[in-house]
Amino acid sequence: MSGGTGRGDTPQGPPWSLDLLADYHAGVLDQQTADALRAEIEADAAAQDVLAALDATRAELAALPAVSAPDDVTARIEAALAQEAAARSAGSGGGAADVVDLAAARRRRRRILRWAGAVAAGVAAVLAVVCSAVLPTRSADQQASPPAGSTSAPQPLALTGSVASLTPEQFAQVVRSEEYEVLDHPEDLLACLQANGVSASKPIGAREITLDGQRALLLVLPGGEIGQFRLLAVGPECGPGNPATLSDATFGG
Amino acid sequence: MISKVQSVPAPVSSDVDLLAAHNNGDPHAFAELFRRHKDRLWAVALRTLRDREEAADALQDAMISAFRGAASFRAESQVTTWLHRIVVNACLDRVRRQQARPTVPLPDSGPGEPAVTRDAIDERETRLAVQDALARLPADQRTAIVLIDVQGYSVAEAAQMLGVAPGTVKSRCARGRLKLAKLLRHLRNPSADANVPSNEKETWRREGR
Repeated sequence: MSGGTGRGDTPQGPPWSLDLLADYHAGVLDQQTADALRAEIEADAAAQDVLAALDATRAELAALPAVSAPDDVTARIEAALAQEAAARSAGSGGGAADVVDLAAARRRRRRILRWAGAVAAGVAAVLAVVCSAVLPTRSADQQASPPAGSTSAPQPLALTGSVASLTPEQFAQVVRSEEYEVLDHPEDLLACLQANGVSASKPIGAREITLDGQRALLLVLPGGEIGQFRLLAVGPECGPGNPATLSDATFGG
Repeated sequence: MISKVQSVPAPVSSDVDLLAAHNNGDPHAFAELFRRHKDRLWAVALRTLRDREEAADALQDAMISAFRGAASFRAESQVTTWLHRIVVNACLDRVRRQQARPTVPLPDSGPGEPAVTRDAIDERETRLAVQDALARLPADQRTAIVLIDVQGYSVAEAAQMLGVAPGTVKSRCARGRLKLAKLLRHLRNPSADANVPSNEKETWRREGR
């Protein structure tokens, strides 16, 4: 008989069972049993072959190529999280007034940056529109990246067509933005939303865009259904009694 | 000479800071946490479920669950461990649901896997074989091996992620590696296995049982 128990609880060998050797290799055995077996296993060529095979298996597993979360999966989950955040905010009583305050704070911060990088931003914005027109399939991440060495705000997202439509990557980019200062009077955001029939919804995201070359603010709002969002594009003049609606569409759902 | 504006790096929030900000109502903190760890979480989901859409659904379910349950996080574990545990649970829930269905092996170069760029054909074939072999393991063994041997987590971390004792993780790895070694033909003579009655092996003392 081989591989069984002899001295007390310590298994005897060689030959050793594959299960025992796999347990020994993985550290399953308690320290006392492992210590009792070590010298004998190390002296047994067949056992060493099995341990080498297990090592080779681990090495192959470790060499599997790394995987990255695909852009469409990332965008989808970020959109779902944005919707969760909007629902939580609405449920906690956060209102549009909070948005205006937040917008004001961001506007002050951005104004300083814009002074510093005004020239670079202007050049970059032109380049971004040209590049977006020539290379419409560029990823949202690339579009979101500022030029090297610049601290200016991202360039407007250049969209074409009569209705603003977004790829999942662009959608994720918009929900990460809060660029309310695109409005001529950001403090009028609440009135702008009301002029567009939005009374209870807080924007999930806001991004400066160009729609067929026209500068606009694209707002992402809850769409009323799970996974559905309203994409509202308004001109900078949007304010009290002036909806300045350029496009009103839905995304997802 | 072209002078570049030196950008000052923004202070990096820790995972715990982000989670605290999320719990205090910051609408963007959790998304930042997701972006920070999404690749590792995706890898675990994809390797465990072997199906791109299933993995995407599981990861989304897990992130929504974590978003809503963030207040239950306890600082004795790392945020990444906590997130992994939620993802692993979401994956295993789906495994249980799909057990009656046939398995769908990963494509050799689908959107979830990077294209093979090396010239060595035999290496490519070996790697595909590893994926196929992993697919043949029971889910509990596969998940333990994915966490430890593929993703490189420690036994202690994997035990927290799986919600089992460290000894159980080691045992699952031992069983899984043995099967893989046979499937990958590193063990060319499985008949060399000694004829040991299984009830005798159960008498050996093991850790963590």
